[in-house]
Amino acid sequence: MKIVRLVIASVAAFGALASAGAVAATSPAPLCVAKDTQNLTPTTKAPAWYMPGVTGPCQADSGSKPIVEPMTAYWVYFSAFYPSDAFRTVPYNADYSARDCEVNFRTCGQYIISYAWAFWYSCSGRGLSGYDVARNIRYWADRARANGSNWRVYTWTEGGGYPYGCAFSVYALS
Amino acid sequence: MSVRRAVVVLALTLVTSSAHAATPPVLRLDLKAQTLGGKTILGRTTRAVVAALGRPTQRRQGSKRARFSYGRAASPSAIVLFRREGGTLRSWSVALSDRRLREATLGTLLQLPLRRLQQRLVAELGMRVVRPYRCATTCRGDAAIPGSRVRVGFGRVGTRPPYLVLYEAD
Repeated sequence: MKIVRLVIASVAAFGALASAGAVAATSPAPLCVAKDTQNLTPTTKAPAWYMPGVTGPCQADSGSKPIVEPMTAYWVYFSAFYPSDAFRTVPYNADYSARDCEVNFRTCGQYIISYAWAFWYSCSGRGLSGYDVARNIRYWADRARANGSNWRVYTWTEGGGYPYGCAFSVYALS
Repeated sequence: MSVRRAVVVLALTLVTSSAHAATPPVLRLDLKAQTLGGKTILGRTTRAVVAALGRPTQRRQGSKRARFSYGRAASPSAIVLFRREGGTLRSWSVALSDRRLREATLGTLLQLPLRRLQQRLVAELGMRVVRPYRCATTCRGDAAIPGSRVRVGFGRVGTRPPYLVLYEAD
């Protein structure tokens, strides 16, 4: 009986620890970005507790870093959300785009949605700065890393390809 | 004296002509006919769109997609999007954001409150609301043109002026 109780207590403690990252949004001292394949609600801003470069993924995929250090690459257009246009990329390229947005908010969208003006117009029209957008991209890149190697960061437009939404999320390649 | 008058006339002429050059013409939209400036605008080749609307002020063309912008670079009055269909780039969407835009039935529709615009699209053009206008992270509504695969999206991005986008939904 004592053993059973001990096992239950251990399982409960493990569960609490494992979900620490997931509940980090309400916790005063978040540990890391947890694996979470359920709550994928897109955001235009990263949670307040997220600190780029400090709050990393709880469990990063070892294959998530490139072998070489390339420059920013264009995000891939895909039509899964038709009649919206959508664009996706791997986490490390998302980080490069985030850096681009920190450096020049008016041009970074060229790599992300192939339309620098629309990116800037839409994101700044929502009151977001280049720093806000960069932080959000880095957050979702960490979410993708935490979820595994088949996860990508994506963003999209409204129906008809206009306007750009300036929100990001992650999804799994099948 | 006559020299001074001539200078004034010349100056006025220059001011007037530069103002005309800077202000794009008012676009005329017909949602029932799905035309812009009296020309069919969706499902057209890049060449046909240039023939209908003129040369774009900005043009970006790849093998799978293209985009033509009209009006000022900082605030285009029209953006036409193309995608590859059966080996040819064809227009599938046109976004309009000039408040002076004039629609055949509704008049200057981008000067209407957007909920009112939604009501009038339904009441006066018989459209069906497929996504009611609401504001969450963005303000947006979509309505379908009856008997066609074309939809009309309308909304506003934060503090930016309202827009309308006419697009093929399938």
